Amino acid sequence: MTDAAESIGILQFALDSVVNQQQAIANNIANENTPNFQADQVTFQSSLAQALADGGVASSQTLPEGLPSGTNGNNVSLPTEMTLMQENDLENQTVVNSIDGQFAVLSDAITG
Amino acid sequence: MWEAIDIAGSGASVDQTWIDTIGGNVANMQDGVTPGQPVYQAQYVDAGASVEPDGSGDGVKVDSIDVGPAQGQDEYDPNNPVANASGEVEYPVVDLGQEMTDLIQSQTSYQANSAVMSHATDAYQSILSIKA
Repeated sequence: MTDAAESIGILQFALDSVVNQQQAIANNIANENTPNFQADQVTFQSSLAQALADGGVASSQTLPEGLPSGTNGNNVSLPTEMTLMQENDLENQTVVNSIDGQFAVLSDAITG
Repeated sequence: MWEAIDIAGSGASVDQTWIDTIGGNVANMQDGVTPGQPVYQAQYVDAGASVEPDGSGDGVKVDSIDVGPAQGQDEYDPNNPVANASGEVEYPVVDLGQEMTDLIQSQTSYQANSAVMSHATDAYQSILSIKA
């Protein structure tokens, strides 16, 4: 059973990861035309799910996207990045709403 | 703080420089001179990724501005006041097709960076709205 403080800790990790993910996407888009640039992506969802299942510590990882490169050695795909950015927005909203929910629970407990 | 906005800003700034050089190249492509005189040299942006010491990406920057050939192309135009004795005028080497293609690319990239800025602003706003 996780208490509110523990849940907030988990959500804080999720929010940090979502912000890192957003930065990686912004960096890929900024380098859309940079010769030989290879896109990176930040993943944390599976690690978080694993940590929640077995009580371990979750971590976020930065990995190359590994898409095929164009003639200038750049592999940024604008449609892919736009899609990731949209998903990232929703994840951000989800995590922020959950944190708000946890604080509301704590607040109720304190004020009675 | 607000890294995503800074990163998108670096992208928009490189795009702006890119668009400026395209403007300069197209505006000067008809600058004929007497052969042998210095002729306009096209400018090309050489961009490179910025990386933080820890290896994470920190946007993009203009590494250098490369210039096109110093030797222009001669065209026969005897009525031009700057033509030489054999009626030749030297024009800068600018590929208009290439410039127009680059213009569309830089414009798309600028739009993408500005979309990132507004998305990032919304995301930061929602984080700022958290209150206990």
